[in-house]
Amino acid sequence: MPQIEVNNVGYAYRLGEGQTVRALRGVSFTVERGEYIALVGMNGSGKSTLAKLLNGLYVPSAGDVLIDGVNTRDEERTFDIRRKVGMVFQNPDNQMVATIIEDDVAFGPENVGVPREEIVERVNEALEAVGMTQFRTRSASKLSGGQKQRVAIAGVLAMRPDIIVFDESTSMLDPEGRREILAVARKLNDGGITVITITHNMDEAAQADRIIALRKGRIVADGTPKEVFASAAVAECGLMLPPAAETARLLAERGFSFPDAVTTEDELVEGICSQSK
Amino acid sequence: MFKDISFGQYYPADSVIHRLDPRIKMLLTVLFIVGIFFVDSYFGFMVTAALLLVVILLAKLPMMSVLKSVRAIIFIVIFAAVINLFFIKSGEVLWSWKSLQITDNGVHTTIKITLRLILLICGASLLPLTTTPVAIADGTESLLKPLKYIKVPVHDIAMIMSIALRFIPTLFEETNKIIAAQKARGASFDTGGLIARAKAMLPVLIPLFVNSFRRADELAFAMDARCYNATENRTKMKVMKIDWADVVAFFVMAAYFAGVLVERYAFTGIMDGLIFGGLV
Ligand SMILES: Nc1ncnc2c1ncn2[C@@H]1O[C@H](COP(=O)(O)OP(=O)(O)O)[C@@H](O)[C@H]1O
Ligand SMILES: [Mg+2]
Repeated sequence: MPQIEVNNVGYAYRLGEGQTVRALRGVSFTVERGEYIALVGMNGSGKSTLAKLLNGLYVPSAGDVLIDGVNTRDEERTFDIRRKVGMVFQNPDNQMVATIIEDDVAFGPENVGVPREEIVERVNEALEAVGMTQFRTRSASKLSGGQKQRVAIAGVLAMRPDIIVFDESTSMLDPEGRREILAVARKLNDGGITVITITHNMDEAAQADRIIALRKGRIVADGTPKEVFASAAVAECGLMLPPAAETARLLAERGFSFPDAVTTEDELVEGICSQSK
Repeated sequence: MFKDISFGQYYPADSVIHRLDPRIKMLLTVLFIVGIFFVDSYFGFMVTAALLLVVILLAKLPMMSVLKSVRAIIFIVIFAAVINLFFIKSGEVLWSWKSLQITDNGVHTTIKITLRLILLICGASLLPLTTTPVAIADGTESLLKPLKYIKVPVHDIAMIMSIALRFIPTLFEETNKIIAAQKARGASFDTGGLIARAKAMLPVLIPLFVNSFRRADELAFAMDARCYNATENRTKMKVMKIDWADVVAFFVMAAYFAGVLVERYAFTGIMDGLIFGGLV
């Protein structure tokens, strides 16, 4: 059984007076445990809507979302699903509930009634995992963006999730903060947590095992970075290829031929060198 | 414009005062605020100042962090001082010019009002400086618990309080950013009359408001995603417990309060007479 199963899902926002905005249509895909997926697409293509469907913040207007076989429509299981599927949002300031870091990390476990000693244990573990232990009794307002986002991740980890969805969690950060968060995401994925990261940054997407591209609420590509970058999907979505892939594409237009699709700088260098032989 | 809003901001340190039970601290703060309105002698203000000084030292707070909160109300203090200085007509006239006059009673009242306001705000600021917003919210929830039986949503009220405290620094930071952005476009906030200045604030308040709604929306999603309201049986990482330090603190404050009342009503003016002689 796949860990996440999205079956022919549609979602429409109601604007009142019978008006609706159809944000997603006919979206289907499955995710296996431990995958690292990048979800890409232009602003308004439906990425955040899809993310919120994965943990039952929204319930599909059509189709079903199953997490470990449990339908997100099942109201009795809503909180089981939210515990399993953690979400880190874009703005670090708007997802922190408490002023003091350890209080914020404890918020999730407190909500589901975890016993006190275990909360302490989980908070320690979560802060350790994101490297924020020495800040635990500090106030979050004095931290850098990357540090705040690491606290947000710790807050999710304290719920011991199986899946973490990052909704543009690096887009408000400086390059340093971005690297910090990517390193944490990578580490968590190595530890067995499924990661779904929404991003505009194609370099970031290139590091995923799999890319799903959305355009106007539909999936237009779903495959490995190589497959997706080689197809027309990225351009179709109005996104830029990563610099190495873009260079390779331009060179190919001018008569170079690359044996394999190029996603990284190393592959580009190798490809160019092989031309001169 | 809003350079340093330290009032309401927690100052982390490891001290006895920080560790006191938030409920006790809130109770003591209320007692202190009521008490200081009964203080009416220079001796009383000296004792109060000494008490605050001891607490500040025990709490390992830098003096500046406490004095900063005074800066926030400096205009109120000056206003109250001026009004009292010129409008109290009783007592011996020390100075007069046209219809303005200053009397010795006026001078004493002015000094006392100023001291009272400054000590009041210093004392009151000790609570937020040494207590995390979550602890204040937990304490409130616990103190209001009896109201649960008449269906008052005590937990939600506490949550709202804690979030409000959490967002004060964020909103001030944002206000400063917007002001800087508007200044860069040529807006002026420091010139013109009161109305002109109020008008100049409008382009600051509107984006602040709009952004606050967006923030609230995002925060609600973030809270839901972390299972807020999953169960009635919420647990707490930090449990509140009355300690011997709380008992001591309570008795110190009770002694202070009783002392204030006794000094005011049983020995009116005697202590000041002893210390300052004919001066007052
Ligand atoms: N709360 C909402 N109410 C109405 N329409 C919305 C709402 N949120 C998003 N939309 C619309 O749904 C579509 C998809 O939005 P979203 O999922 O936020 O896209 P993305 O995250 O990819 O930028 C957009 O057309 C957007 O205008
Ligand atoms: Mg989005």
